[in-house]
Amino acid sequence: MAQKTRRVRKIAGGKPKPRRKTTARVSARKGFTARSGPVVAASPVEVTCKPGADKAAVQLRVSRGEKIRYELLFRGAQATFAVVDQHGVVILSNQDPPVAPGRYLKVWPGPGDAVKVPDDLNHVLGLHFIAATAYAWRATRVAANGTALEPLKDCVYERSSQTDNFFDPLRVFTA
Amino acid sequence: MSIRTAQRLLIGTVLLLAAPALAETNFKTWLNQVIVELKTKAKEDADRARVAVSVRSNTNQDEAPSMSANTSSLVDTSSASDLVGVALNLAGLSGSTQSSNEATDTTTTAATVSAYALYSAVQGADPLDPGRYCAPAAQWARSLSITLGYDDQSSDMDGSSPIIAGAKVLLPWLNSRNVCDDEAFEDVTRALIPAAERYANIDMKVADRFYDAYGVAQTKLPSDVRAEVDEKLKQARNRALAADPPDDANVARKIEFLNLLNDPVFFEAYLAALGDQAIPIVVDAVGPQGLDPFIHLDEQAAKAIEEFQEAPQIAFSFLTKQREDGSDDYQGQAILDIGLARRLNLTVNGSYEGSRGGMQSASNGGRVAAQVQFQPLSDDLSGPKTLRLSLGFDGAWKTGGGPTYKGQFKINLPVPRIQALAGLEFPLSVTVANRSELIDETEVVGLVGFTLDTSQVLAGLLGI
Repeated sequence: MAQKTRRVRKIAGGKPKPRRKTTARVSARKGFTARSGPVVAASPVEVTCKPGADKAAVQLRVSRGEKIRYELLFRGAQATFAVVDQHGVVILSNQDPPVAPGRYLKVWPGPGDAVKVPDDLNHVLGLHFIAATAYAWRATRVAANGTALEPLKDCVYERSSQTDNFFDPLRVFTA
Repeated sequence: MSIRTAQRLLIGTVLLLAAPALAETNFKTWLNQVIVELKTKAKEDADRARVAVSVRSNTNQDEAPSMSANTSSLVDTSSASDLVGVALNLAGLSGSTQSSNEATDTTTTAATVSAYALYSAVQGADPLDPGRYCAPAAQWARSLSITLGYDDQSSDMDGSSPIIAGAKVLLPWLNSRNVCDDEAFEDVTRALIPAAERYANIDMKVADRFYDAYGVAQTKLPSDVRAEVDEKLKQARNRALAADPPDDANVARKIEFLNLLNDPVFFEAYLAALGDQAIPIVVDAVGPQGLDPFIHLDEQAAKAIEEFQEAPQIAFSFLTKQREDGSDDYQGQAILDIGLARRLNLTVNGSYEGSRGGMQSASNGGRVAAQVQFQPLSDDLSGPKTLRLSLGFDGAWKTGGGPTYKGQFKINLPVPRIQALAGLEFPLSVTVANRSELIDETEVVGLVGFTLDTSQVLAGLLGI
């Protein structure tokens, strides 16, 4: 089992001093720019996130029109992914049309999405690497006018084998 | 004891054993790995099918074509490497009962390049770029491959080296192994959705229990970590209360805590503070509903890959061997690849073969060849190809000569454990024939060579 854990000397937000990643990235393509943040990968999938962009939970003030903009990019022949909540509601998947080759986008909640306030939801990104070698995942909290308020996720996931899968949750507390 | 109780005991035991190895990470990678460990143990008897798609196709032809005088390939396969395949077959290790034949002293060198590789090179683009890989033009270009090589025949009467040239086209509408087919992995997506839903539920339960346990577990945290966490939780609460209108302070505090779980330093310290409590929390969260969606996801992925590899694939090729002096050979061939069972592949060739020019009169003939290839070990897909064993038969007939029958046993030896040499293998073959090209005597020829699939090498270097 590969163990590639980044250690920081202090807890994130308290002047972290992450060590530089030692594993060489041979290529950095669009959407896959090298992350300098902590690498956390006890699983076979290598996960690299930008510092401060690997949130586990967020409060979304839906009543003020706040939304989350999700964006997924991939490398390989086909993406196999789904963003699903704990009730089985599919928010975004590879069965949705991409906005550009290799790029999927969803702003949640959309016009047809019924959202309770307050609510406690868990938006989980499920990835499978059967026909993709890497994914990039970005989630941003945006204001009603579309202005970015806070980066929630900016991570790259790379496989070690074709049968790998990975799940990345984001707890969304609506208000 | 019920089956469910037994399962939970087994899961608990597995987690207790696995726990020390899982300690250094953050919450999300830890929970992912716990689930991987659990489902792996839960399906002990099920092999994780690990076979390749596309780059690791079992029908990519890396060896010199069967038309070459000295190739370890008795049959030609339907696909070619996505980039360039290079093959070198060294002079034969002859066990022939006769002293002189074309194959014995011949070294064959051949390179096969897909039109996709040339197309990418002309455009100066990365051939492994995902946006390009499934473009219609790229798919067509990948269907067409060109082979160029020569037989270095030191024993040829005039010392010349015949040139081998040809092209092969994989008909897209007869190719059931198209990795770009939108429907190829639909079942995997369908299985991924309930797995993600299940993960969401387990994750919520575990995270909430971890949060609830903080009141007790915090006393076991290192004092500096505890002070810092307490301060952050307090600040989050104060910010919520200071907001206009005020936010829910308890929710704000919980959000802060959950985000801290994604910090490796805090998570490691907190996991240590929880001690033996952490494992039962996950076991409880998994509960009687178990991990079936994750196991089903693995099964669907394995099934999709196996179906992909077993699907039939048909190609047509034209090859010629041109000599400075003497007759030139021509071959038009149909090639079928089909999976018979898991890791067992059948390749069948049917061809017209003829020669024209030179001192001899024109000849026409036909050839039928078949090969069964068995991959005894499962493929972990992350490194070199695995060992492959092949058993082949070849029958050839032509005007003005008797029939030739050959049988072959071949082993393709990869270079294990070296990622950068993932595309390199050494085919070793022993061929038995009823007669050589010139005289009616039984012939036994052993061959050793190497093949290099550059798409594999590049994939290894790029870590993909």
